[in-house]
Amino acid sequence: MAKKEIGFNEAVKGIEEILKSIEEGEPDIDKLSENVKKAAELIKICRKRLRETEEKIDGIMEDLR
Amino acid sequence: MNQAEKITLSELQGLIRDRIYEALPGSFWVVAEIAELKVNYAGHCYLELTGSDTPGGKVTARARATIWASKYRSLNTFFNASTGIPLRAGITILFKATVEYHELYSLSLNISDIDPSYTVGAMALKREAVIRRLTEEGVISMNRGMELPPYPRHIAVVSSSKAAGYQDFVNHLTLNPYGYVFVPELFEAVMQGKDTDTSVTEALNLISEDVNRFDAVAIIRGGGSSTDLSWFDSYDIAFHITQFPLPVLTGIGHEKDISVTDMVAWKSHKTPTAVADFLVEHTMLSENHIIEMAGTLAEAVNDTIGSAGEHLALLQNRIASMARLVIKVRREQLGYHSETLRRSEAGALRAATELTDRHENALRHLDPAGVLKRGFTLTAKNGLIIRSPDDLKEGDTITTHFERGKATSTVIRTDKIP
Repeated sequence: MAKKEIGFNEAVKGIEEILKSIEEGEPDIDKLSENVKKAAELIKICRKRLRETEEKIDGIMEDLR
Repeated sequence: MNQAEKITLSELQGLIRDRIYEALPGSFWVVAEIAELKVNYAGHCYLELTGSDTPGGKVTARARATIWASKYRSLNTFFNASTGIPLRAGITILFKATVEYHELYSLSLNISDIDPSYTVGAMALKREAVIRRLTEEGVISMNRGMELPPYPRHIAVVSSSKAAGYQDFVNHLTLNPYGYVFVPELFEAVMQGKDTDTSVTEALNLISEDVNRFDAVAIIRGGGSSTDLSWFDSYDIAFHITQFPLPVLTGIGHEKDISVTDMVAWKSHKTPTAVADFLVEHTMLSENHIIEMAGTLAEAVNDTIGSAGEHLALLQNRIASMARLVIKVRREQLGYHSETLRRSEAGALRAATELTDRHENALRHLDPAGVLKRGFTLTAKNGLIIRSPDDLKEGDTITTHFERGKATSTVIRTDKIP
C-alpha cells in the first residue's frame, strides 16, 4: 500500500515539534542529526507543496484570463 | 278611444321633447361613470354613462351622452393634461350637460364641460384604497423580498408585441455592448383598456406555471407622459405581483407618476429600455464583482503562500542554528566533564596513596619483630604463644623470646591478676 502523502500543515507541525524538542527538551546528541535530517525532509516536503500549489494556482488563474 | 285624438310617433316624441325642455331647462353638473366611449370619423364622441348608489356597486341608472367634435378635442386635451389619462371607459367624471331629446334617438345628454379635478380625486381615492388593502394584507413589499440572480438570462416579458417599446426592450437586451446572452420570452397581454387587468394576470399565471424556466419577469409597455397609467392601479395585477415567485420588473412608461403596479414591483423603471439597461448593468456589476473577488483571491493566495514560505524559512534557520547550538553546548559540557574527571582522578590517587601509607604504618607497628625490638617479649610453651597464666602450671617448661635470642625457664608459681 502506498504511504499516505504528508500534508503541508502536518509537515510544519512536525518541524515545529522537532524544533521544540531541540529547544526545550534535553536533546539527545545521538538523535540530533536524525531529528535535523527529519526536519530537513519535512522542509523539503513543504517546499515541494508550496511550489506545486503555486504552479497549480498560476494555472487556474491563467484559465480565468 | 277617440280616433280623432290619435297622433303620430314623431308628434308624441315632440311632445315628450317639449315637456322635457320645459321641465329641465339649462345645464346640470352630473356625476357618472363612463361605461363606453366611442369617437366617430367626424370626431364626435358618444358615451354610455352609468350610475350606481355606491361606488363600484350595482348599476342603477344608465344614459347616453355626446360630446360634439368641436368640444371633444379641447375637453379631452384638457382632461388628459389634468388627470394624466384620456377620457375613457372605466372612469368616473363630473360633467356639465343639457338634457336633449331627439325624436329618432330619444334621450341623450349633451356634455359641454368636464371637471377633471373630480376624476383626479376619485382615481386617487380608488388608488389609495388599493394601496391600503395591499398594506393591510401585508403583501405590498413581498415581491421585493425575491432575489434577482447575478446573471438573469431568461426573462419572461409581459407585453404586447404591438406595444411601443417592446421591440426596443428586446433590442437593448439582446444587442447589449457586453455580449451577455439574454433570452426574452413574450407572454402576450393587453397593455391598456379595460381588459388590461385580466390579460396581465392571465399572462402572469401562465409564467408561474413554468416558473423554473425564468429568472425574472418584465412587465413593459411603451408610451410616455400621455399614457393612461391608471389601468395599472389595479388591485388584481398588484396582488399577483406581490405573490409572484420571481422578481417582477416594470417599465410601463410614465414620466411623472408611478402606478400601484410599479409600487409593488421588485424594481420599477420609467421605460422598457430602462428595464433592459438595468438587467444588462446588473449582469455587468455581477461580473465586475466576480472579477474583483478573483483579484482578492489571487492576492490572498499569494499572501498565504508567501507567509507559508517565510515561516518555513524561519523554521529551517532555527532548526539549523538550534542544532549547532546544541552541539556547541554538548561540546562544552564534555570539556567540563573531562576536566572534572581529570581533577577527581588526581584526588583519588592522592587519597589512595595516603591510605596506603597509613596502612603500611599500622602494619609496621604490628610486626612482632618490631614489638620485640621495643623491649617486649613473647612467651611460648611447646611452640604455642602463652596469653594467660591459666595456660601454665608448676613445673612447665616455657621459652621466652627476645629480639636477639631466647631463654628457657621452669614455672615455680602462677599468680593471676584478680
